[in-house]
Amino acid sequence: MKMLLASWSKLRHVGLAAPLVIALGCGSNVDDGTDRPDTGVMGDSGTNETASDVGGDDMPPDGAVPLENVCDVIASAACSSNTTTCCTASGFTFDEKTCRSRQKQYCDEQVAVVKAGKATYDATKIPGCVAAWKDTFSKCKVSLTDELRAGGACALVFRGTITRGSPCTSDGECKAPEGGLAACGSSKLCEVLFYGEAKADEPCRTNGYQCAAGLQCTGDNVCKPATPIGGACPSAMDQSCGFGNFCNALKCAAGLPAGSACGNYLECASWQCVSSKCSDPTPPFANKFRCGV
Amino acid sequence: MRSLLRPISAAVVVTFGLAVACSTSDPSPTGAPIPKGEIACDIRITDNSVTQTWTIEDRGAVAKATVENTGSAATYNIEVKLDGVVAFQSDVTMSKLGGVSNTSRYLTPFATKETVVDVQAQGGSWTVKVDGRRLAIDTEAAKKAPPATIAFDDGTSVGPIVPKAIETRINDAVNKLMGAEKDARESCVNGTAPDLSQKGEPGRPSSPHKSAECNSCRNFCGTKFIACTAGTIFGCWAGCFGLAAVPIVGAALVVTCNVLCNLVLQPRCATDYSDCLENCRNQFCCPVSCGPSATQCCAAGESCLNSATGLCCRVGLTPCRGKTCFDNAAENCMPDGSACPKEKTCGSNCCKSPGGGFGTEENCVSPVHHLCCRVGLIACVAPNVVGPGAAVCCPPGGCLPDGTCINPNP
Repeated sequence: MKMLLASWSKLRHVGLAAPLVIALGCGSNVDDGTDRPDTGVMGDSGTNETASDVGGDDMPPDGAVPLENVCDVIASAACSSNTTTCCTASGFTFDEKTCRSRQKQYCDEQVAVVKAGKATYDATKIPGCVAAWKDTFSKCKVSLTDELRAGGACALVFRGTITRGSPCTSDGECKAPEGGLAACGSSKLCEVLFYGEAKADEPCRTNGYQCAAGLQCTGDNVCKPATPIGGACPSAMDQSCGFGNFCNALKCAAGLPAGSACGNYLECASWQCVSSKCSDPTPPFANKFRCGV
Repeated sequence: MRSLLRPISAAVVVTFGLAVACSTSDPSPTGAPIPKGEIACDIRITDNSVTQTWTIEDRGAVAKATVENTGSAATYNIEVKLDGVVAFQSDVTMSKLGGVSNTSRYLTPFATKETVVDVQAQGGSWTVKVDGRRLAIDTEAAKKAPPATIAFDDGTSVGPIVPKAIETRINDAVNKLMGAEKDARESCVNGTAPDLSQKGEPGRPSSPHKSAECNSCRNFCGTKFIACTAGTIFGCWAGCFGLAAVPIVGAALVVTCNVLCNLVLQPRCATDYSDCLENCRNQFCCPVSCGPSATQCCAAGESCLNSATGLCCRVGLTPCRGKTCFDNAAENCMPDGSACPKEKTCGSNCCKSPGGGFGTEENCVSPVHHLCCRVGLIACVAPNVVGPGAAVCCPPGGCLPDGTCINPNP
């Protein structure tokens, strides 16, 4: 707690105003500054945690993070003790200073978009984003679905205003669906990477992994239980088998593991066929960039 | 007269030979140990010149030499005082091309009256004037037998002009100074010699001409040049001084011998200096030229990225179309001059590596279409069409048969 307050004190000295935007719990779960692994709100348990649990050292006690300081908070979360552990486990040397610098730079670009009027800023979503970072690094090996969901949590902090298919210059300008993720594609048009997680009987888009595990997005855009392994399916490109599975010879089968030869992405457990080989369905989230190498 | 000069001629030739060898041997004609004098030296090296002043004092005898080298020319001034009285002064300027100008003043400790000897040499011809009177010297003949040619244009001998024999006391003192001078030279030489077996250090900044190694190397060359110059001067002195004992023309013979000796040896110093600087340039100061300016250089092991900007690629990296440096083992040089990780190279496109935030990475989902898609998106390809632009990125299940994405927001 002392550490937290000290860090916050530092932030206050760089000009923090203190509008009470987020009400954070101050119970026994307050970050004690130790290096214990964090568990985030995006964890498998699906339990929500207090904001102070996920706030990190740079979260102010009152939860109010002005735009000028949000990148410090996010950089701290993206370069936490969980990051160190994950980087080390993945064979990377962790450099906190570089890690923070890179994350802050990316975040600063989004802040600039907000200041340019092409995105909005919602400080109340910071705890969710902070938790997403810590939880993702805590898992360390992360599925595409998990990464996109984590990204969806952070996309709520900065929300672009440019809709899908419209011209853009940076990711921050693109408008993501609630809980989803958008990006400025290589064609410099906004594209939606993820439409947000949907539970059974909730609406979904075409994105196969939008529906929660074990569900499929049906033709009428509703999440329904996926066809089980061995069940009948209509065609190779059908997605009724659910994310990670595919329709093989008109029967649902488990997707192929990493490194398997693939003709289309649906054959892979990762639903990613890169250079005719299946990508790892749970690749290490740590990489040189994120570890500050 | 001819019979008198013959043995002198032999003496000068022999002495001249000794002078050549003096740079590596004891310059003392007697071979006796010479007490070391008090030595002080001051070296100043700038971008364009090296200047060294050194002084030797020994029991009332003071020799002071100032040598300056500017690369294209070297000048040195020597002054010898005995008991506070200036006995000898010499100002020499040598060009890199071999021209030599030497004005020496032999003062009363040497001569009954002050005598000024002016020597101008260029290429194979040279002239000597004593107090403004030209000596009739044939260059080639002088090199072989200088004393035989020593006479003024009017035929009179130089002997009567400098009739005074050099005192033994002065001779001894100068010899001591010569002996001490070698120590002075060695004590003044510093810096790093160019090492032809070492090619520099990896990761050094791309201003090698400003590096400590370059400065040290140039310092070494400068001080070695000065040492060579001074050694030649005093070596010649040592070799020629014995001629002072020759009756009547002795002092003139010393002068002539000195002129010839320096004429042969000083260009060697200049050449060595030039070679030394060239080695410094090749090894430390400008191992890799990178532009028209002499200071546009890359360090050893680096490569010149762009000679227009003078930018260099650090050791291990390869220039890519003059714009970026890339790691040949892990990256490809892209058509636009950027570097792209090999696993991210997608035809002529480079897919994005993970950045800050989530979902920032791109994968090459269709190399034939040069198509990079963000994680989570797949290639949606128009049938029977290849090349850039024939495919788009769509969410899984969102690809229509015509190669377009389903509009997820009807």
